[in-house]
Amino acid sequence: MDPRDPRTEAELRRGVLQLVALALLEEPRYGYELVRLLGQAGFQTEEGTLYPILRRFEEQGALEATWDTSRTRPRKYYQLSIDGRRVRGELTEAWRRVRDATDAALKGVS
Amino acid sequence: MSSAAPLAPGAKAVEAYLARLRDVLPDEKADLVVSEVSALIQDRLEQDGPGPATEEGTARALAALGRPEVLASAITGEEGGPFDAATRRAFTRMLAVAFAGHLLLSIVLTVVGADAKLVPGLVGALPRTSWLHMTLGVLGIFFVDVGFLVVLFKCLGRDRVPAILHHLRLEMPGSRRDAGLALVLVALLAVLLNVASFRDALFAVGGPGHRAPILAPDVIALLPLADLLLALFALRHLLILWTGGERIPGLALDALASLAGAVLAVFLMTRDQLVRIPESVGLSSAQAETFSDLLFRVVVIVGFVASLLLVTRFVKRVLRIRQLLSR
Repeated sequence: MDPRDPRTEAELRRGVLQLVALALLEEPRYGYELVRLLGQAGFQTEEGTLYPILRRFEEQGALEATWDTSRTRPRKYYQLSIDGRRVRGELTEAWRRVRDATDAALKGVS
Repeated sequence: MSSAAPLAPGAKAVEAYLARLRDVLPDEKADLVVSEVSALIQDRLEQDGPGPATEEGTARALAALGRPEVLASAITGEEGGPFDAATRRAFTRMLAVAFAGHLLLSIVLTVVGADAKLVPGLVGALPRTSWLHMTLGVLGIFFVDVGFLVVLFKCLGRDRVPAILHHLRLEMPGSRRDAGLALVLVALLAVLLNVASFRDALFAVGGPGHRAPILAPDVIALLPLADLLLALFALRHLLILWTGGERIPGLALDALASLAGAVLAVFLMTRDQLVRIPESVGLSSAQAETFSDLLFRVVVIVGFVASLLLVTRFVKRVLRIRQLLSR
């Protein structure tokens, strides 16, 4: 693994993409809007990566989805469900454990 | 259903992408996922500005989604290993078509009692000595087809395999205009086959004034089956004229007609005599025999290809009906 390769950091960020996506879905957002928000937050991603994640969360009941049909063409909005908040909490805990373990392993390394 | 309005640049690429995605998705998920992915594409295209999408914008939007096969695998929760979802679907669909076609031809050959094998070692009648032998014969057909497909997929490679699905599209194309034209053709064929004077004038040898009909009684006896086939195709086209597109009854009729066509082709190939050259024509017996033999070989080749195509068509229609029913 070459640390100077930009893909290395992208891979590290991809690991927490699900958690960040859930964090951004406190209010209803559509797929491409979420892609842009993730990019602005420093988690550059594309629809091909995000869409399967959204579908999986929706199937698990972590996300509630609604179609906005008032526009000229329908658009699907995703929002965190009650169950999704629990999932987000669990993922946050998992992330903290990973972060603490990583910090501990890196202690003393300049 | 396509509208008369011209497609925006890139719209064709989006349609092709969505069609390919639909092909590699499980039937029960296809409609929903395709509509969601379509909305995602449109959302991105909207960001490029008002008006019709450019080809470059469309290409970027599709690149952001990745290959349909990879996206489908990610959606269905499968890893892109050596047997990802797209490859498995291509294999399953091809195996269904190949096995059903192969088995059907063998069953027809068994029923008509043909001892000759259409393709030695590959297509022939099933053994009738016992149920065990017949079962082993069916298993043999299955394993031959599996083996053939494994070799084919190995030769084509992973990237080209999902493309097979495009050649095995299950949708039945058909417009009112095509159906109208086809009905005229069916009517012409029916007249040609059933009006003896027309038939005898067409299938005849000899010069002006002394033309002699040549179709053997064995072939004439198949006319009711040919009429049934034409009637089924006519009904199928009438249904398209009425409904304007693909519907389950039309698909079922087309499946039946394809099956009847395949059976007719096999019956034709297995007749003892196809033509009978009358002595009045003036050919020597050797010449008449050569002519009959030549015609027989042509009919066997055409009949074999036609029966394979018709059986494939039958299986595709059955798969399509299943697909529509599962939605």
